Amino acid sequence: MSNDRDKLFEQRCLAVGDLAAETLPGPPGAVGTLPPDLAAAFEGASPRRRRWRWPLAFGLLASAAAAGVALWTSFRAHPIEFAVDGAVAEADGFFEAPRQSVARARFSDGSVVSLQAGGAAQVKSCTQDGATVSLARGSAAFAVQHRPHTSWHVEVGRFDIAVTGTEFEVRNADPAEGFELRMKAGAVIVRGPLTGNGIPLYAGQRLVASLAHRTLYVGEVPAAPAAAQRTDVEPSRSFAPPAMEPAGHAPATTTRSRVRARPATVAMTEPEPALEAPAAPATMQPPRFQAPPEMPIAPTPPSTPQPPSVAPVVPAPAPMVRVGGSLCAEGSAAQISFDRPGEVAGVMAGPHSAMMNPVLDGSHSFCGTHSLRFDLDFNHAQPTDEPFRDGNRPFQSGEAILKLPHPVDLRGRTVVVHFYVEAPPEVTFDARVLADDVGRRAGNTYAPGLAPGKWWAVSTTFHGPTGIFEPHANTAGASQVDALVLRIDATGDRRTWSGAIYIDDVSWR
Amino acid sequence: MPVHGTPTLSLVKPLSQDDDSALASALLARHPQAAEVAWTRFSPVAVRILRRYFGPGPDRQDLTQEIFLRFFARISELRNPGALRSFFIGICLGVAQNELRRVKVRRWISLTPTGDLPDVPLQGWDPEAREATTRFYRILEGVGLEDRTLFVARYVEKMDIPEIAAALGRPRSTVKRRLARVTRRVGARMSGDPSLAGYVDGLLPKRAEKP
Repeated sequence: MSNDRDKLFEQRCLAVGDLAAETLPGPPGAVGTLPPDLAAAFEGASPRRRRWRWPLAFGLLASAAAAGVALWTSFRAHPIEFAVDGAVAEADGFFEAPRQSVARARFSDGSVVSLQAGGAAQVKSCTQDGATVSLARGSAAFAVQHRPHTSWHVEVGRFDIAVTGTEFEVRNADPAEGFELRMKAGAVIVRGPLTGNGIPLYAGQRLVASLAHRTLYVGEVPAAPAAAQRTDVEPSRSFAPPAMEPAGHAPATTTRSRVRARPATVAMTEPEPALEAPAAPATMQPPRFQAPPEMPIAPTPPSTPQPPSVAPVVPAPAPMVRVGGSLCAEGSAAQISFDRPGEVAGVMAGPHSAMMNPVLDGSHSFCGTHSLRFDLDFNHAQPTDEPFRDGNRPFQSGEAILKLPHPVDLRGRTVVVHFYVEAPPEVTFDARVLADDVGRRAGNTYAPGLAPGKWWAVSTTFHGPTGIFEPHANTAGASQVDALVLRIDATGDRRTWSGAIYIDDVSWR
Repeated sequence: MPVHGTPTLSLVKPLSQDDDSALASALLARHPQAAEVAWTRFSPVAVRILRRYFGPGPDRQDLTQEIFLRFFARISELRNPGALRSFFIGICLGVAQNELRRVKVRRWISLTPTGDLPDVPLQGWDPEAREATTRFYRILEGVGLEDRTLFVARYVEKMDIPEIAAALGRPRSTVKRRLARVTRRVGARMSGDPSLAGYVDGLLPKRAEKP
């Protein structure tokens, strides 16, 4: 048995080695000409002789290095220290800022933690390279001095912010709800729930995590008045973040981004997200995309907390290899691939929709590296105050709305949307593509009886004025489409289920 | 013209594959053109091994030069001129291994800040092959440096065990034992990625058809 398995492993290793050799061939010929430096090195190199000297030299070097390391260790072994202004630190490093003033922890390495009024934090540990600070509640500005080997950590609930030297603010920290992180300089890596292997953040970016809504938002720090910006850059003097509602009140379901590089431009007109103004319609957009207009994304809940999303009944899928296949040979040619910035102005779930929590996803993609993922929850009960529903009934449809950067004339053109539904295998559903033409829906075809577990391509051709929601008064064709909608309807025998949908490669020809 | 009494070597035209011994002799004798010939012959080997060792990513010109610097400096250690190619490959693998150790120590990993492999185009157009290769190198990230060296030498470069042992300066028994271990380890990890395992299993019949 073991031998069979070993043989299988060897065969697989040989095959994967063949694959690597084919995909990573060597250059066909010499790589240019011999660099002059190498030629000179060859001419100057002398054959090695008297090798017996090496052990002696190595021994001397090792002794010197050991002595140096011992000295350096004794010098550096002392952990950094800190003192708190404006509050009294307890023996375990816990300190609270008074209600009306800021408390600051000043560290011997030059770093400063400015705890906003009413906040609470704990310096959990100090090493020679940094400290671990737990922000229990409230907001704080961190100005961490960069030194070799700097290792600072800021803990907010189950999140950990790894710092090597930077300035940033953590706002509205609540271990049960989440927090907001605003970068001013340098870079950090945020790890914790919803972050996968960690999300790097760079100067000018911000992250909003909401455990209550299971959402993560990464975007640009919104433009602030000049005076406020001047204040922000020196947190140790007068850090005063604008008033905000607690993170748990945020109704937004937002999008997580992959952040690999500092965005080229900062959207100065980007509206504040829901955290800043919970009563206003929330804004949702993939980070690094263009600043979207404000769009309502869910019924504003208000005082009653939103029930937690039902966990998918299917386990997390194994990452897939076979996706777009040869269709992606030259890279995705789709207008919307979720791999490039600026493809959409925003994404959101439709109102009264079984889709929720949109997020950029790296585990599934038809082409490229990412797709747009929504949670699907057809178990979710309708709110009781819905005027046009009788009683609590599960959602029967879900809508993903992709806001286009510019209106597009789709008359006579065919829109294709690729998507993958992750759900119990026995469920079936219909799918249709709609166009939102100045607030009116167009599109009259749908694909029935689809099953989960595979990529589907649903297309709709817009032939002049057609309407399914306003059949009598619809004059909307598809001449100024500013949003595309993928609608999923639960059909078949089982209509209450949950899962996820991954949308990718939206194109029109 | 002979230099320092070394064997006659026509360095004007490219040497054939069988001329390793002559080239080694020329290098040992510091023939003025030996470096150029060595570069012409072995630089593609160096680039290829570096690519296959590190996986998808940009070519490392600096490492190629470092390989040749070491090669020129250590040519006097070559015992058997006929084993010049193995000697060179051993240096390539050593330089690659040291580089990976260095970047791991610094926690740079020549990857993107997110930890993902960089999006560098791979040879060929087959997206499945690209994806499978990327996943395979993610698995290799999880094995030790020497194990990775052995794996690349054996399964990607298709070197046999005596050749690997000669290149790495290790006993054959050690190479064999460690190779068996890394084969089991990589095989098991591939089994943990059903998509990759399925894709690779699909290659087995084609591989069996090869002579």
